[in-house]
Amino acid sequence: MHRRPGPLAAIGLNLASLLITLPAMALLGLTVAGVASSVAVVGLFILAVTLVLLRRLAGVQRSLVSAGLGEPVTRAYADTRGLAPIPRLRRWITDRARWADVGWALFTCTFGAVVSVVALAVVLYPAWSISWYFLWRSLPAQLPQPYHFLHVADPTRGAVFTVLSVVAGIAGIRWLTPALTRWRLLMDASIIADSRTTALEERVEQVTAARTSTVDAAAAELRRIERDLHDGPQARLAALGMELGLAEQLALCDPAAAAGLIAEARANASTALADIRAVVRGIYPPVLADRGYESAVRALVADLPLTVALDLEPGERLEAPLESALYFATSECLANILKHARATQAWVCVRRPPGSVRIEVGDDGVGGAAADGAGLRGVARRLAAFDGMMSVTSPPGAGTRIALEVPCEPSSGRTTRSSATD
Amino acid sequence: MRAVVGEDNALLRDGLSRILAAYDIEVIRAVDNAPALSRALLAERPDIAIVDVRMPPTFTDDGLRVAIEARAQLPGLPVLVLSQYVEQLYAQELLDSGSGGVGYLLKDRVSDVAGFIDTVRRVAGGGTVLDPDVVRRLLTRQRAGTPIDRLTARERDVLELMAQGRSNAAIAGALFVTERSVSKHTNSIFTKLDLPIDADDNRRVLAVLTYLRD
Repeated sequence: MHRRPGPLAAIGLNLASLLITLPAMALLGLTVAGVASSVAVVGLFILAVTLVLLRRLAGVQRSLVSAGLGEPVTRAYADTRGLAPIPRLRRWITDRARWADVGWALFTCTFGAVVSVVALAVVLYPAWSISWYFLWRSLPAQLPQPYHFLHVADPTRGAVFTVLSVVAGIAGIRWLTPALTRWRLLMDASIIADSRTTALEERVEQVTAARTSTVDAAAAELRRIERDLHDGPQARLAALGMELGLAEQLALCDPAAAAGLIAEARANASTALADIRAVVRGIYPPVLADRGYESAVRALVADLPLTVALDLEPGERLEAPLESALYFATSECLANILKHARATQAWVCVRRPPGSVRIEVGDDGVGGAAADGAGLRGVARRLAAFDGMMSVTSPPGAGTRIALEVPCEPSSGRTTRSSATD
Repeated sequence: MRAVVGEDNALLRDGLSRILAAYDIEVIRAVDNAPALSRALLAERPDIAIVDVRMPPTFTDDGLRVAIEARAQLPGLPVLVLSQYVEQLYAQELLDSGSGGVGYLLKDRVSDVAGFIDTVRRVAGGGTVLDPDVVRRLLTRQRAGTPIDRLTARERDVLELMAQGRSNAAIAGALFVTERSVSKHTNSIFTKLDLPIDADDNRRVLAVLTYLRD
């Protein structure tokens, strides 16, 4: 399962690991200082900075582990995006992954460093044996008994011993160094990386939550459609029937009144059609079906009583379900702006980096939007089914920016919650 | 006749009021939510309550529940329930809610204005009127091998109309036959289903419905 690094790679990995030990030692010291002085603001500040840097450093070690073992190595940290500094720090402090970083710093400064030093010493051993032999030969007076513990005194036996040492040393470089390195990297991994089981458990948790969200979203959607039909076209058609029925009764005795009713009925018939169109648009907008997300957003924006700047990076058409989820998420964000933001300007920006779609919907309104309001929760629920994420930045008085990101490839291997940000 | 209308959709509320007014049925109150309906029914004791099933505050079956509660407090209060869907369950709850006229119709039926007014008058007079949709579902629910199977096609038509709450005269009109032959059919139906023959129209309807619901 895990590859063993080659001798050269092993040398590089151990050198790099030892190099990392120096900052790790410093950060370890700072962590201790931060915890000790955490009653004061400065302690919390030190802790905050240290934890960020430690995560970075552990990230470097993770990439070494990943390079050495030939396996992707990841770690799920608690998601803290959108949190204010103090709650964020609190979340960090309760996050096991963060404490594992600290534990790893301790490991890499002590036992890990020892293992790396031994692994490197094995490499130096043949060169050292040869140097020692010639040193002895050239400085016999200073080194009367170089192999004292072996009772080797004459040059021939010394040479034989040196050759044997070199052979053993080369075998060590070939086998012992890689084995030690692998062992060390596995220990690193056990501290700062999620085990496969943890990663899978994490994934199952995500999928379960996403499924619940999807089911909820679907049920809410069906309820909304039923309500829209009931209050809109169905009521219109029933009223239309009443008007026509009454007109029928009045046709002979009061033709003028009957004509008035028929005119009302005709108006109701066209409104009923308009209502049906609106309901259909709420289920699957025809432009979305015909032309895809970008055009549908253009069409949507054209109908809004608000200036919305569009910056839509074109791309291949997405899968229909994803397209629909993104469209309705965007439309919900814009509806929120109309309802709450009191904005004069809004924008929708779409980026299509490989493997994902990023959408930002923003406005210059009053801000203060909460990610757990009914509308935005609906957006998050829609995206959850596609492993999508939503983050809301909405300081009071300074507008709102809602960032949506959804991977647009089959998501089989996503096991990290927040690997890209910190 | 004095009527209270409970309907939250303004279009339909106006339409109903207009139709009732055109036939000299005075709409003393037209309300758009369940609590107001409940107050109006108890205060006014109308000759007929015309009630939409789905109303605020919860937009579920608020109207129906208010109607059933009002009938518990004012026994015999005639209630005609209108809805965009008809449900067997709601029909049963209405039928079980005590004596006095009850009706349960799809809103579509109102467009047959004369028929609707006739229904309003029959329910106000203590009759039982069920939407043809409800009756059809009651009939299709009957399992094979029950006595219903022994009815002729024509007898089934008569049974269906009878279950909707029509009188012999109305059934005769609907099927283009004489009243005499309708009463021949009804006698035959009651014999085949082993029901006591009753001259009273409404008791007859209830007997048929009880039979179909069991």
